Formats: sequence, C-alpha cells, structure tokens
Amino acid sequence: MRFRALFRSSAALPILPVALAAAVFYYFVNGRDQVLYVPIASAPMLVAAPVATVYPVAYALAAATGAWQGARLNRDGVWGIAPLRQSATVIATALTPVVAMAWLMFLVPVVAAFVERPTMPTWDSPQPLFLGLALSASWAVIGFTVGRNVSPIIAAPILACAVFYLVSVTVAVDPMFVRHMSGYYLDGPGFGESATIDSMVAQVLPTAGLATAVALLWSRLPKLVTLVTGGALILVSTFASYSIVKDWDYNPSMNAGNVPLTCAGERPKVCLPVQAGGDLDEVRRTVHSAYKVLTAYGVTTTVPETVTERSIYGRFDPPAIDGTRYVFLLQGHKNGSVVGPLLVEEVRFGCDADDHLAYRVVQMWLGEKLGITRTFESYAGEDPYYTRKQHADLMRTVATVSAKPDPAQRKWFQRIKSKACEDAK
Amino acid sequence: MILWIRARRVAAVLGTGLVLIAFAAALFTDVSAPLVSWTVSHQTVPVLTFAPLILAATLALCLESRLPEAELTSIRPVPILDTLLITTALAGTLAITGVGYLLTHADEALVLARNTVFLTGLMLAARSFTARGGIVVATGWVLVVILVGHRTPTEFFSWAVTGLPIGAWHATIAAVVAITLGVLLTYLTARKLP
Amino acid sequence: MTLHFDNISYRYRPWRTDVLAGFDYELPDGLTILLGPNGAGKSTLLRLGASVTYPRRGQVNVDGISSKTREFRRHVSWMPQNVTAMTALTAREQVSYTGWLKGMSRSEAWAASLDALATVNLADQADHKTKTLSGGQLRRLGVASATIHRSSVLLLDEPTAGMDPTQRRTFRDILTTIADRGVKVLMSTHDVADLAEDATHVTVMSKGQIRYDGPTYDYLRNAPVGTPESRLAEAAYTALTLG
Repeated sequence: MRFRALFRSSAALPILPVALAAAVFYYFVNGRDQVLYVPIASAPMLVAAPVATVYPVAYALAAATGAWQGARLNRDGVWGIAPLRQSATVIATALTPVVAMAWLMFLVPVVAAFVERPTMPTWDSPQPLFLGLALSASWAVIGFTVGRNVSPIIAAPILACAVFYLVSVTVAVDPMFVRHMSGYYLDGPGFGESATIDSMVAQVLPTAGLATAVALLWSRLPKLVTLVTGGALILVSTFASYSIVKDWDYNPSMNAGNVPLTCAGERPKVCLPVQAGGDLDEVRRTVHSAYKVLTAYGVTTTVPETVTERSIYGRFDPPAIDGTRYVFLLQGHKNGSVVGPLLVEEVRFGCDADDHLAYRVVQMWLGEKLGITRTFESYAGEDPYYTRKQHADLMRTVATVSAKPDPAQRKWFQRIKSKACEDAK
Repeated sequence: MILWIRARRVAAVLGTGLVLIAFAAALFTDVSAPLVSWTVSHQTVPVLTFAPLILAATLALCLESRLPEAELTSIRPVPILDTLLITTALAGTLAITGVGYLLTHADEALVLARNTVFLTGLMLAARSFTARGGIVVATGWVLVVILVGHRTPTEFFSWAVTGLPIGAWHATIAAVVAITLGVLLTYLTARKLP
Repeated sequence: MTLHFDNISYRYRPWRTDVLAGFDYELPDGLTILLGPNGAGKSTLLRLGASVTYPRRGQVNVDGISSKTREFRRHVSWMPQNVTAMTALTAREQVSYTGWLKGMSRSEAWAASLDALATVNLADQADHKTKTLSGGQLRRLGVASATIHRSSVLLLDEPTAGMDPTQRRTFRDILTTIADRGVKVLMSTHDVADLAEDATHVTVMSKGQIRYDGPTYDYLRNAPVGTPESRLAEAAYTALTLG
C-alpha cells in the first residue's frame, strides 16, 4: 500500500494533528527551557532533555491508537478475507502510521533542540530517543492486540489512561528500581553525561518483552505453547531488567566526564570543554588573578596544578585527584565571572566548620578585591534564612577589614578561620 | 423493550460500568497520583479524574451496540429510548455519587458527579460528528487537562473544567451545557448512518 | 402493495447536482434485478425506497402511504450491503430484535424468528452468536432480519457482492422463495452474473436514468444480433448502459 493511502486509511490520521500540535506545544512550553538553560549543549542532553516528559504521552497515544487500528482491521474484515500476506506483514503495515505518529512526538522536540543549539550528534547521544521509538512501537503492538479482542470504545480509553498513569507514576514511587524499568527516562543525561547501555536495556526489556509475548498471540503456534512462551518471556525480560537496576537510586546509570577538554596556562592549568574554547583565555586570566589574590591573603597556600570544569561530571562526584580543583567555571562565566564559583571551592577552612556566615563574609571580602559584589537578593535566593540585617552586618565587617593594611587583613582571615574551626569542635 | 435492552447490552455493559464507578468512588476518594504535567512540576492528580470515563465509555459502547440500518427504518421510537438510556445512566451515576457524598461528605464525590456529566455530554456531542470517536474526545480532554490544565501545582486554569473544585460554578454550568448539547445532538443526529 | 417513486429528485448535498431528477418508477411483482454501473443511482434509489432518506421533490410511497410515515416502514424492508452483526446476540436474537423494531411484539418476533431463519437455511445457527457467522451467512441473516415481519417489499443493496457462484445461486434461490410468497423483491447489483432466469424483471439504471425496465426475456433482446447465448445478458447490459 502506498504511504499516503496507508495514512489516509489509518486510525492515526485524525490523531496526527493533535500529536504534532502536542509535540510542538510541549517543546515550547517545557522542553525548550532545558535546552536553552545550559551554558554548553551536549548531544546526549539535547536528545534527552526535550523529550523527558514525552514518554508517557507518546506511549499512551501509541497504545490507544494501536487498539483503534486493531479494531478497524477487524471491522473491515481483513482477517476474514484470509489475506495472502502473513499476519506480521499486515500488522506491521497497519501499525506503520500509528508508530510514525508516536515517533513524531519524539522527533519533533529533538530536531527542534538541535536546530536551536546546533551540535554534532555523538554515538552515545541517541539512546534515549531510540528508547522512546522502540517502546512506542511496543505499545502500539500491545494496543493493536487488545483492540482485536476488545471494542475500541472500551480498549482505547482504558489503554490511554492506564498506560499514561502507570508509566507516569513510576518516576515518583518507591522502590526506586521501578522508574528504571518503565521506559520513562525522566532524569536523562545533562552536560558531560550520557546514558549507559545498561540503563537503556533495563528500560526497554519489560515493555518489549510484554509486546513480544503479546505478538506471539498472532503466531500459529498452539495456544498452550504461546501462553507458556509468552509468560516466560515476560518473566525473563522483567527479571533481567530488575537484576540490572535493583540497586540503583533515583539516578539511572550514566557515563560521565567523557568530554574533550582544552587547557591553557600553568599552575594552575585551566581546562574547559573544547566547545567553550573561545572563553578559555578570559577564564584563565580571571582564574590566575584570583589565585594571586587568594595566595596574597593566605587563603590558598598551594595553588592547584589544574582547575577543571566541574560540570563535565554531571550529577556525579568528580574523581579526587591531588592538585586538581573542579569548579563550575562555565556557569560562573555565563553569569558574569568565574570568581564566584572559584571562591566557593577555594574558601575552605580545613576543618568541619559549618559557620556559613563566616564563609560568606570571607567570600564577600575576597569578592570585593576581585571585582564582584553580590547583592542581598542573590544570597537570599540560596539561603532563605539570610536576613537583611545579617547582610548589612557582613558588609560593614568587609568594609572595616578591607580598610586595614594587608598584613592585618591576612591576620583577620586566620582569626576568623580559627574561630570557625573552634566553634565546630 | 427487553430485546432492545439486550441489544444495547444495558445490563452487561452499563451495569458493569455503574458498578465500577461505585467501586472507584469507594476506593479512590482522596487518592492522588503524581502524574506528568507540561505546565507545572510536582503536581498530583486525583485518581478519580479518570473515573467519569468509565460511564462515558460504557454508555458509548451501549449506544454503538445497534443495528444502524434496521433502527433507522424502524417504527419504534429508538432515539427516545436512547435518550432514556442516557438519562438512566446519568441518574445511576448521580445516585452512586450522591450516596458517596452522604456517607463521606467528600467533595470528590460531587466533583466525580459533575465531571461524569460533563465528559458524558462531551462524548455524546463529539459522537454525533465522529461516531465511535466520541470517547476519544472525552479521553483526550482528561489527558489534556492533566498535561496542560495546571496554572500552579494546585490550581487549574478556568477552562480545565474537570480539574476545578466543586465550588467553581462555571464548571457546573459547563457540565449542564455539555450534557444538554450532547443529548440534543444525539437525538437530532439519530437518523445519521455511521 | 406496490412501491412507487413519483417524480422524485434527490441530491446528497444542497450544493451538489441531482443524483435523481424527475424520476418515476414502480416496483413490479416478483424478483426484480436492479442493474447499473457504480454511481448509477441504485443505492440512492434503494435508500429512498427504504425511507433511510427522503426525496427533495416528489414522493416515495407504498400504495399512497408516504415514506415519511411510520406505517410505510411496516411495508418495506431494507437490507444494506454490509449487514451488521451484533456480536453479543445470537442469530435468533438479532432477527427477533429487527422484528421488534418493525413493530412486532417480543413474543411474536421470537416465534417468527425461527421461520425467518429457516427460510434462509440458518435454522441450525439460531442459537449461535452472530460473530461466529461467515460473510455469506451474515448476508442470509440480513435477509431473515428483513423478512421476519412479512413486509410487502424487500429492498437489497448489492447483497451478492463478494460471494462465489455457489453462494450466489443459493442466495437467489432464497430470494425466489421469498418472491413466490408475494413479496416484491428489488435487488441491486452491478454484476450481470446475478441476472438469472429466475428474475422476473430487470431494471437497468445509468446516470440516474432508467435505461430499461421490463421482463427478463425482453431485456436479453437488447443484445446485438449475433451475440452468443451465453453472453446475452452481458451484451445487453453493455448496449443499454453505454448506448
């Protein structure tokens, strides 16, 4: 059947404009923010972020429309006229428009994301997209089979609501492993991360196993064989998936840190992702002048060998390497200066001190020297208990200290550090 | 009449539908689930949001269980009987939710009644133009309200009728308008072949 | 009782041209085969005759009883091309239901349904669900449903489409039996193979006009001279619809 005719006769046709409108609407209302927010786009993130909450909707649509299509073939007596083609060919042909419609819901946001943030796709980037495409097809097969046996008036709403509901709630329930098995890949890779094959296989297995078991019902195998094989398939695929994810927390497994870097300067050597190479010189200059101030006032005694961009490790802790500091340089640079995040990393009292006001006053004192002044609101945004009076007191302290000669300022820093450490004991 | 009741599968389908609504009302009042929203994050949706579709779907199936050509050339008042069927189904739901409200004093029971009236009306109205597709429109409405109906995690836009609390009078009016339109269109388009 | 189409005009949409214009027709006794190519107006004629739709001008009636009255529907039965199977009902229940729809009481319809099923050789399927019936059986169920209340006129819209020659033969035999009871049967088809010697009458339509209306033996005379006997029906049809 020609492609156009296939669509025109399909149950997917009236749903197609709705699905397309939903995909475009979704991208502009939700997915786009995540694409534009990050300082540097990475291909895995550009694939995963714009479709993060499309999964339950696309699956529900595929299952319900699949059921409708299954019922339509029944009504048109396709099975009764004993087609010369094999059942699998008939089903695949009938489901092509349904699956294509669901695929569009994934493809439209991803293509839009790559258009807005032109980035070269990488081999490890399209997995979350493939997951959506594979499971949309699986749900369409499941829906199609249900639609052959149950009136679509009942099957379509039940499938639409049940699939949407069950897939949606998996990311909000305990135990945690459920979210890694439902095909809803919500916490996808950020910058510096990419999905592991394990995580994708775990997501695909249960639904794909169910779809394959359901597809067996179309075969000419004896009923008992079909039921036993189908049941076994469901059990094995679900158990295999479970054994992969049973110990995971809410984060799926990720590859992180595999971002090519470009570095400049000596002690510290400053490293940024290659994509941000254009900013490297400016960032390096700022970092070097910051360390001059930090060492001059005794805040840093040993300048690190390397200062590396922190975000390439995504949500995970970077490896602890002597002489290496991990700083959110890019985020800082985008927000005006790398000094802020650098001070967060460098102002350490070397003890268990948790006096955040002490840390803050030191950061304000150094920030003034390095040309950055943060407002009360910017601190209050991070600390809801921070008051204007506290801020005014800290500003006064900074003004008093900064007016003193350098040796006195160094002493002041040592004193405040010792006091914070004493208080922590 | 008994033959018509059998043909419409009233006992088997609509009866089951009403029983399921009663079960849903008994089991899921005050139960919410965190579902996807495209306009806000961290929203929860009452599970009973889906329950009106039980009546809408079973009623749609009853109305579709017919012999279009024979009924069109019938001398029995089939459109009037169908209107009676719709009225009975809604009365059954209102009775169930009314009892639920008397027992629990939970607003959810009233919201369920209002939403069932609205979605059944929507299904009937859409069914007049799209035949079996009427239930798709009602289902689509429920999902659209969940996905994009939230103004904040706890508040809905005023168009999202089925998400609004029972105090929202315009939602009740919308439900009355929808069911009136649905019943009227069902009656007026009864002479249309699928 | 006879079905009359008196000077009727009909169009599907107000902005379309008439499918039938100033059309007159009277259904003769016995089994009449309504022949014509696709788009000739056969289905429109049957739908008007069954009161599924009403003419824009003119009147369809049975001995003066207008198609817009309920009484008309007692006298006319219609079997559409696709017979609906109510999958939850048995064959007997479905036939009884159509009898009830045509005004019979439940007990009358229930009693008459067995006869109606026997007429179409489906008595053995009476208690089987309609979803188990084959395509040919379903058509016969349609005839049983259409004849249960003993109407005077039976209209059938391409009931033999998709049937093999044996099934066609059986089906026409059933219609002949019904016609022999005094029911006036009008069966549309675009396949001249349906034109058998047992059809008493032939009506040929093309482009909303009647090209031929008369006895079967006269119809065959429209074939060009020298046409082999086995191809007379087809040649006559070609001559009438293309001529």
